[in-house]
Amino acid sequence: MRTKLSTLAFLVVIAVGAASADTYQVTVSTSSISGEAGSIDLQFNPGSLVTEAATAQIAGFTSDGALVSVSPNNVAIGDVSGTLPGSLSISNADADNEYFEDFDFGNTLSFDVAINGTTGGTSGSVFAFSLFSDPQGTQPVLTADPGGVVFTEAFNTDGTTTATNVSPEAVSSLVVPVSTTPEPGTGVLWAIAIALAGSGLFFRAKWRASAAA
Amino acid sequence: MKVLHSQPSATTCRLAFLYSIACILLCFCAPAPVHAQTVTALWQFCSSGSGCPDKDQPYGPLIQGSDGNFYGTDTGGANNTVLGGAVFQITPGGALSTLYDFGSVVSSGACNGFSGNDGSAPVAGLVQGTDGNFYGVTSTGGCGAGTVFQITKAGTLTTLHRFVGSDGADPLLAGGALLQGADGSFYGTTNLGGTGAGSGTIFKITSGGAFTTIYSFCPAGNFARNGSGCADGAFPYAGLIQGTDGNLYGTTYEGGNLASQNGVSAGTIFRVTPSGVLSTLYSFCQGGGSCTDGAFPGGALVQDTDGNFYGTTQSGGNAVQGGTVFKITPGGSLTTLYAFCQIPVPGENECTDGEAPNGGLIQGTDGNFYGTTLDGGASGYGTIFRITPGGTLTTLYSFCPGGSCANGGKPAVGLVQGTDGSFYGTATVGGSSPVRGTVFKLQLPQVEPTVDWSSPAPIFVGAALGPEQLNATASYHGTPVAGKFAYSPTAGTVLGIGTDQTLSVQFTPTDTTDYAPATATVQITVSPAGPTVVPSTVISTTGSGLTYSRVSKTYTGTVTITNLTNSAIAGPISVSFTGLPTGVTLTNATGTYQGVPYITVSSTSSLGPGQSATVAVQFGDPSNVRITFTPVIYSGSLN
Repeated sequence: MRTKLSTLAFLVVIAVGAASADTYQVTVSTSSISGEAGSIDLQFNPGSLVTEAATAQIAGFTSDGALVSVSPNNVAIGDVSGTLPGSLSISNADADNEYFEDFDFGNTLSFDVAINGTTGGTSGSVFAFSLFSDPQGTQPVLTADPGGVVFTEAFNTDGTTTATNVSPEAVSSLVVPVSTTPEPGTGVLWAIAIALAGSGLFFRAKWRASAAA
Repeated sequence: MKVLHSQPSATTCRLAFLYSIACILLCFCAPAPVHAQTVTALWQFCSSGSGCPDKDQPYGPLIQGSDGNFYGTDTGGANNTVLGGAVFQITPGGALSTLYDFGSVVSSGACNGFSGNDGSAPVAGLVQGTDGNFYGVTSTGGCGAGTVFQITKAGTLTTLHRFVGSDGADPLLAGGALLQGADGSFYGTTNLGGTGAGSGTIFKITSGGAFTTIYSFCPAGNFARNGSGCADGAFPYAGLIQGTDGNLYGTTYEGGNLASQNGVSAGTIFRVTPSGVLSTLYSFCQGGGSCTDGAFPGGALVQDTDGNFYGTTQSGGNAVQGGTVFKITPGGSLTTLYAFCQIPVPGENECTDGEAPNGGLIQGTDGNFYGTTLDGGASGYGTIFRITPGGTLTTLYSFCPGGSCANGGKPAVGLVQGTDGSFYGTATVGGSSPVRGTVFKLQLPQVEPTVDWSSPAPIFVGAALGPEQLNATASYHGTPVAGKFAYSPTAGTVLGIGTDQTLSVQFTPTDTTDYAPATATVQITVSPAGPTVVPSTVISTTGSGLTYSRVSKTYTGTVTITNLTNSAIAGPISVSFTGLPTGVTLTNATGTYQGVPYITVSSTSSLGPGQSATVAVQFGDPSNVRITFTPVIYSGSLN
């Protein structure tokens, strides 16, 4: 098991964007189960207290494995629109908002997820990504979570998000935000940084020109 | 001087037998000392003047009338004449008055001109009808074969029926009395007569005197003792009882299925419908020549609350033939509970545990059965005994202790338990003269009731003790005992925090004659704090989104509470999930409180200012309805 878990790798790469919420690029190494006919599950559900509306956007799904687009197991429950490998939009309107599809694992798969919504309420919402080694979705794989969850991103009541790699061996080093919503102070810092970067390029170009002269 | 009409020979023999017992005992008795018991003679016959105006020799049991007084019969004649008898009333304090003297007048009506046609020798006791009058039988007199009579409390006697033989003769009803059935009619037996072999009858009579013979024993008419016999029984000695099934149950002194009785016509137990269809439930002497299952049942049956019947036989049981106490099911399965004469007196053929229980049993308020034996005991003058439904016998009293028969001796019939709990009965000899008899009272030693008190549920500090905790009850063998309960600590006391604190009660019975005081203790735990609802302004509750598990088919998440104040909130702290949608369950609930599931967030410690505590939640939601609830936060244990 430890060997399997050690092969699980999430690669989240910083990709600065203009989105108003965090965007995570989730990359999972599935080489240890490559060739197995399993399934994947993506869901975005509200909490049990007062929950404001929110939506999870999934895009950029890529893999050397293969989605099994035609299967009696495939199902979209609740407020789900779109189809993989295209973009998915999952809102937290119902108790269970879930996209489940059979999947023939390759060595890796990857996708981006971003959550937007209204702040407030007393419950957040949570996006969860799960893997199963069987087409029916009953055998969790590459995780110790009994429900098969390998990654979650919580949308908190204050609008922040919290990403968690449920696999303890991978969570600290392999999950990082790929974008953040600039806070006012952060925006200033970004402006300064851009200005500094621009001035650096300016002074570097000027220095190169001077040196060439 | 009474003129006795011709008597059927069997009756004469039986009465003569009873008298002979008394006479023999006058010469025989050399009473040994017995333990003193609380038996007192309420009345000693022939002690209130010359010539025995109160008559003597009671052979019937007492009954307690609705007025609290006791009523009975005796059989002797005034001025030391033989037979006649009377109906008497005796107060619980022992004041006796004769209500009616039989044979004292020459009555009109049937057999007019016969002295004593109003009846004579009432061997049986009385029954008080629902109309308040008393009803009884005389074993002789009338037209010579006995009568059925009604007598008012004031002593006005009406002869309802005079037996003539074909309708029965000699209604002994030994140890019992007429039975008033649920239909209001009276039922009884005659020892002789009838349309069969003259082996007795079962009859019915209304309070107006309408008489019907509903069954004649030995219809084949071929009874011969120890001979061909009467398979349906013969010579019923005792009265009837009405079972819970509405049928009548009784015994015959002789007869039965001889083929199974080792040739001994030892009597039967029967059931008869009110219309006269008789079934023999059991024929005695199935146990060989010594009749280990008993022989010659002479008393009435009594039905226990378990539906079984209990009774006695005069003989059989073992080689000494001391008689038995038996139990029989309505289906006829008989169990011998006790065989008397298990403790024979060497060389005297007497039995210190009693012998010849003639009078049947009564069931006391404690659930045990009580009866008497005619013979045996420490002095050979009979005993009073108690026997449990399981068959454990205790001799409560041996008559004629220390050679004195002031309290009487030779009790021929059973007892009656008064409303005061004491037992009352009659003795055929003793008292003022060895052959006169007494009315006696047996007062049992006080018994200690059982105080039933369960340890109360834990309470929270600050709660005063009240009826919910101080709720002891007292009973004796399942029968409630009235009295007062004195608790310590008293109601209203507020106990400090602590586990297993002792509460005690002193029970003082209202009836201090029969019941002794009793005590009991229980433990109670006082918890630190009771649950209080924490206002929403004091604490906040937030929740995470819920993840659905395709494996467990449940939703999981977290709930977090935060103390918003500058003061600690005392633990334990619990979240109650009020208002969950129909079909949604909290599958990891700690428990329920007031019907609502809850989870204890912090089981022991308090929640400090600004502190938060998070607990996992798991919901079952088969219908996938939107899960919502209203959190109610409690401070204090909900257990």
